[in-house]
Amino acid sequence: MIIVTVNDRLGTKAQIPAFPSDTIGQFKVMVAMKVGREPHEILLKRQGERPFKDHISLGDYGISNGVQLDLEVDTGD
Amino acid sequence: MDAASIEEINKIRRAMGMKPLPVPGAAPPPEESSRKDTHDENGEAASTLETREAAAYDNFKKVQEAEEARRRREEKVAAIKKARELAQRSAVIAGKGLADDDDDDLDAKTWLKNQKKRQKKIEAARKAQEEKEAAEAARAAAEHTAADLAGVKVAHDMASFLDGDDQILTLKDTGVLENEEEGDELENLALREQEKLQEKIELKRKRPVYDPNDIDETGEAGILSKYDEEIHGKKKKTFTLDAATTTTELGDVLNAPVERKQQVVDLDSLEDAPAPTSDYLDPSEVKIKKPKKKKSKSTRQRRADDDDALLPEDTGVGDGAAQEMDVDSTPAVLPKKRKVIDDSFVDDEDLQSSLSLQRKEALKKRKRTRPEDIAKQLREEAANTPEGEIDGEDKGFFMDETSRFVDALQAEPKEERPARKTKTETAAAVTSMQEEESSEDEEMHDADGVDRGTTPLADVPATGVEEEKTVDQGMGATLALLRDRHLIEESNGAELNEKYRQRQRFLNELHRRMALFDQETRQQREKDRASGRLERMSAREREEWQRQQNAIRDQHQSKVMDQLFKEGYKPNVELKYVDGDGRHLDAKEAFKELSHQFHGKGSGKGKTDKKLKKLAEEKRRMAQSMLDASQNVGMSTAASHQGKKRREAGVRLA
Repeated sequence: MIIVTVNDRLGTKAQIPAFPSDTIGQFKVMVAMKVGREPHEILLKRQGERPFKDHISLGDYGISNGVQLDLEVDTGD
Repeated sequence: MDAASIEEINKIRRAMGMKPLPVPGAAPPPEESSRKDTHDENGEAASTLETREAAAYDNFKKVQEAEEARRRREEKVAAIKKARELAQRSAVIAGKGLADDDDDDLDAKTWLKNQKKRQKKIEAARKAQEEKEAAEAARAAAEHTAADLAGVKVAHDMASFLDGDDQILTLKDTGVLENEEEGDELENLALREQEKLQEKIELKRKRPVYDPNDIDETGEAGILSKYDEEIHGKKKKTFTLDAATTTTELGDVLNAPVERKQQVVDLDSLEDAPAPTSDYLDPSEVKIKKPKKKKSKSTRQRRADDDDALLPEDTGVGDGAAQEMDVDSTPAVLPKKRKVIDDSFVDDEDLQSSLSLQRKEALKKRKRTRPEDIAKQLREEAANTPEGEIDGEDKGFFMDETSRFVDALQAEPKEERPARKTKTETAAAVTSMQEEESSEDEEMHDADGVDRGTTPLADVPATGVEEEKTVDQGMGATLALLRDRHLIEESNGAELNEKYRQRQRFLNELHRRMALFDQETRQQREKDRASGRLERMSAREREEWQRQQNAIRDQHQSKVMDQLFKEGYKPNVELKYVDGDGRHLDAKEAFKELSHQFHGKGSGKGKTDKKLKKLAEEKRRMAQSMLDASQNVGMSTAASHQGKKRREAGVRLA
């Protein structure tokens, strides 16, 4: 089990436990529960990198315990 | 992360069909325990991320245990070492010290006695050493023979040892383990250097890759033998030393055929071949006549050399006797002037005479044509030519008024001057005639004047060309003039007329129908009023009825009109574009103009200039007289215009 920190740099910061085998899509559901925003409106990314894709797992992105991800609003484009 | 929040998340995870997160404090799920092992239930090595992570703790434990064991072992080793060192330090050092006496008490006497013994011992040792060395040297000297070297390779061609006396061979410089099975190789450093140098020189020489004369030892030229070295590696010339065979091999080398010589062509052998023919005559063959003493004879000879004499058929067609004569004897009476020139000209009599000899030779070879032959030839030709050709010849050259006019124009100035003069002369003559009577010359002049008067052709007007129509003669003349100048197009008048008439007919028909309709309406109304039908109706009804009637009438009318339009109406659509200057534009120009207007941007300066120039040219052309020849002087414009007008092809004579 890893704990990932999600931060939108605007005052919202949440710590979410997950397995590295979880996909980003599943992880977004967890984030949605914590943050109070629809999962499809959530865009996660490492700072300065491209946004994560939904069907790829956390472990594949190299997300380990204590990593902080940026949370942005996904406008769909 | 507290347990409550994880529980909450687990709920969602379960709803999504995902594995629940482990809750701290709660018992680990049963499947977790089974995964304690690094291997799955199936016994496979941990392959998935989960299994690997599950095995992490065990791995960590193992590593820690190993570390611990290692530490303990090292401690033990260190303890043992320490103990040993301690033991060494505490051990008593045995042996004699410097201060210790080596033996028992020795006095000088015994030492001296012992000294002799010691001396002997040393001597014996030295002797033994010497003996040993000597024996060794002897053995070495005895054993080192040619047989020892048997089987050792020498990395040179045996031929290279033929000259020179002593060669020092050393072991080739290689690795110790290299070429173990091949054995050692001997080489001479100096020779090796020489070979290398030779090779370099060969490379630098840049010989052509293909050498047809290059033949290898087997006696045949290999195909593409230049690549042999690259394919099979460099061929090394080596031989093996052998106590018995060395000499024989040497002998072989000595007996071997000398290297093949390249084929040599002896150029001297070519001397037997016939000598190449020279461009110049051999002096022995040329026969030069001795210069004649007589001057007169030489001039006669010169006459013979003349080109006229070389072409007898030209000069002497009519003169058979002259033709038959020898060329040398052709001379007719020479003009004196010429003779003088000839005399001064002849400077090299020998050369001239030899040249004349040659020409004579050539003439003799040439077939002599007699006048009879020529006549015969002509007759044959006449017979062969078909009659049609002759007819064609008659047709071939056509002289019309124009060309005659042109000829006259050119010929006139020559005649004119004297003619005018004669007129004045005649005047003078007439005046003089009254005084003295001599009329012969006069008559001549008169006759000449009359002739000149009649020369212009009767058909052609004074200028020799058709008169250009002028505008003051009327509309038709103007039209003809314009048409001549190609200022207006030949319009197909009949068609235009037909169109116009059709249109008028249509309009008339239209008018007639309109009138008819009007009349009909009027009659209808009259009838209605007369029948008293309207009176029975109320005002409103009347109005209604009338409107209805009108509608019906309109409908009928429109139907009829439609029919008429369908049948007879043929609109003549003509798009006319006019530019700012009032010129009519053709489609292309119009498009350009419109395009420029649309884009708000005209063509550049160059194009505009060109266009303006063209317009000016056109204007000038329109204003120009048809007979103005000032523009194209070389060609007579009048003639060309006339030709064009009549649509005839013509030939420019001058």
